[in-house]
Amino acid sequence: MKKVLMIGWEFPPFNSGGLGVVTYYLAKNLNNKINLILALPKKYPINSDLNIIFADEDVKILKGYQKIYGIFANGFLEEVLTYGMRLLKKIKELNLDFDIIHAHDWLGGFCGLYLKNNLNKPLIIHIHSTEIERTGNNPNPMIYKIEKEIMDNADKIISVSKLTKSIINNFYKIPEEKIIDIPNAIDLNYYEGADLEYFRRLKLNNYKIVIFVGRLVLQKGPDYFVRTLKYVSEHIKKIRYVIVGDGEMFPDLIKIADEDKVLDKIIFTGFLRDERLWAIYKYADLLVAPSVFDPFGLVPLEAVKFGVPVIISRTTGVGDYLKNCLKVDFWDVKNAANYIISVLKYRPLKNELVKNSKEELSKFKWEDRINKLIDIYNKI
Amino acid sequence: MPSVCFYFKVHQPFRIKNYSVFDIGKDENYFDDEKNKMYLDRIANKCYIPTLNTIYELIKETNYRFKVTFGITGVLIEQLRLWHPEVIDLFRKVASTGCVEFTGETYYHSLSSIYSKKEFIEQVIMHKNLISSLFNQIPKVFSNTELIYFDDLVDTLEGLGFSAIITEGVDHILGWRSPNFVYEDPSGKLKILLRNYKLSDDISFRFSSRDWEEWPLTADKFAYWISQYNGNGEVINLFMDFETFGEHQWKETGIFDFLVNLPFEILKQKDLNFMTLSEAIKTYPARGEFSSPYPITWADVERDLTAWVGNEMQKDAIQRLYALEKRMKDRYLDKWRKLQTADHFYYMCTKWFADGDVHKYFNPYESPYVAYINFRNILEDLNLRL
Repeated sequence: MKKVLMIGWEFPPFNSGGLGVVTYYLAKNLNNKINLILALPKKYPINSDLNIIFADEDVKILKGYQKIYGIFANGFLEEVLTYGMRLLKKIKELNLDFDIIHAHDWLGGFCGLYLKNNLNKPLIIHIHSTEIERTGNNPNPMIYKIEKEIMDNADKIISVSKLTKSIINNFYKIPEEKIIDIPNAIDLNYYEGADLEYFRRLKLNNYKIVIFVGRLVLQKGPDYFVRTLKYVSEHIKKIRYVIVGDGEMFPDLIKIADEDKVLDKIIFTGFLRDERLWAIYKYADLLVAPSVFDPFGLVPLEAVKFGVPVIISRTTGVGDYLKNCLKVDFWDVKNAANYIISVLKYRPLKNELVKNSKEELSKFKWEDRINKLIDIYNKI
Repeated sequence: MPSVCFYFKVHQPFRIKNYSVFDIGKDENYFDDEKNKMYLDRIANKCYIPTLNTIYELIKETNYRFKVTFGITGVLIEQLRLWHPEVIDLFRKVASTGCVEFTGETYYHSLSSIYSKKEFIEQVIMHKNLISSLFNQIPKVFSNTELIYFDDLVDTLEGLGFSAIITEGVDHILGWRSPNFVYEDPSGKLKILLRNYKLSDDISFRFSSRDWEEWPLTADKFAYWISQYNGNGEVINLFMDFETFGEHQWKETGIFDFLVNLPFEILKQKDLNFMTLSEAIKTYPARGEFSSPYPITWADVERDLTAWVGNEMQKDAIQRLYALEKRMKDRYLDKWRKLQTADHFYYMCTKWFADGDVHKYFNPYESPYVAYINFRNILEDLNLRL
């Protein structure tokens, strides 16, 4: 049985996005099948039966601490760059041995490369997003350089979509043979969301609820979402847009909505997780994910699971695998509005989208991904 | 002595343009001329022109023993008139050999036989008039849209002057029986010619498939297969899309070489010949009864209507479309009828969509959902105008 050191960065409930979620499900599902050690940069009070080690044990969690993943903030880069040193110390202390290093993104990847160089173990880099994608091809040169160095030296690269695979191939000049796309999967169990009085009333009064779920950053395109409302509300009077998430673009969204005179039709919930997020899906008529660039995009799959039809941008990686949805160019606000109105007005369209997309969910089982991963571990 | 009956379906729809919710009430031009011309340019050059020229030469070189039947839709003729009138001249030239028959059908390639008897009759008559004015012959054999057949159609067709209909040789109806004989409907009013789907699909689907154990298919091999029916078959019905030649099977696959050699290889075989559909039904008596109370078609493995009206979107679209019949105004009649063309509903088909199956050549849509949205928006507009 292979012994794998998985190098993570964030972990639920201390996560801001998909990276933490995917790390959690990978670790959880791998745990029964291989010998897994999960490394995280700092000690968080995590409830888990996983074998977890922390590079730093004596870190105090700041109140309201939330790492905004991928944002270049004070002390952040240093943390990434010293992760390897700290972890190596820990590994020696504990006298740990393993066969393979599996590191996530450049955040864990730099650490992975450091360990590879010091311990001479094969390195697998799991790319959830690249700097090119996060910045709309306007990368921080240093981060780009670090990413490229990691990928050049990795023994194998896993990308979360064909879309990201092509970016790694084209922008980082990594030969295609070295990259394997393993799309993310989701937890297919259904969870009952909380009862939200206000939303229940909206539904009772025949309001249509269109949702956006994601960080309010450029990459996710929340501004394009808000801009559709002006057109949609012309045709659908009883409408509410619900925006779930936090981020730096919040003030911009308020400004756009105010200019378009639709602010009264938008509900900002802030960041939600678990029961309260599931509740939003429960009441939603439609989810729109107009990302400028999203390497994968777990949110559309979550929506599908809850029986919500989805509209995604063509630059959302999950679209490589999920066929039964509507696809738009993120900038084509009017066409997105056309589709939104159509889904809300034409019941057969909604029904077919929901029915057929649900049938596709079986393509997104963690079990299948884990088997593919183990196959990679065995061959490396 | 089996007779080989070639039937080519020649059809292209008037595809509709991207029509958004915001166009409703503002734009009554529904069709995408530019796109339709683009498709027609391609098909005319890759298929119609070279294939018709080849067929003309073959008829002459075989001393008028090679014969074919065409089913041309009215909506295709309209598009040829607009953008490729030379193709109509070519059809005329080929027809002038006397070795060519034209079948009757619905002018608009519609599903009206299912949804409106009145509309069906009008479209069949329109088409009959078109064919007789263009080619100076009156269709006697009926080929319904997608080869739809059901028993209740028989009286209507008899009333319209047809003596036979063609349809799919559906296994679950034929049972142990062979498609290679002439059949008749339960009332004995119409003769029925059945497509030999195995041999037809060998040409139209499998011809270029390298996974197929018979690849490459040569004309002499195919002629030999047909000769094997000598003594236990009278008609070998090879029914397929005309676009098989040069479009579904590209020139590079060798499909034209196959076509050029096939008539000679078949005529070389003892007791094999070619017939038009009318000749076949005159020559051979009905050997059995073929009956289906519900509509069958030549589509997919199901051989039913589910490719057109299988899902909720398709049913909604077609029901709303035919619901407009009672309120139809002359001004919008032609548009309404062009919207009846079966292809529009085919584009909304969700069967196998997730597997990346394109499901139809020349499908202009990214997904069945987009096809439905466009069509549905247009219906809203048309509804407002009536």
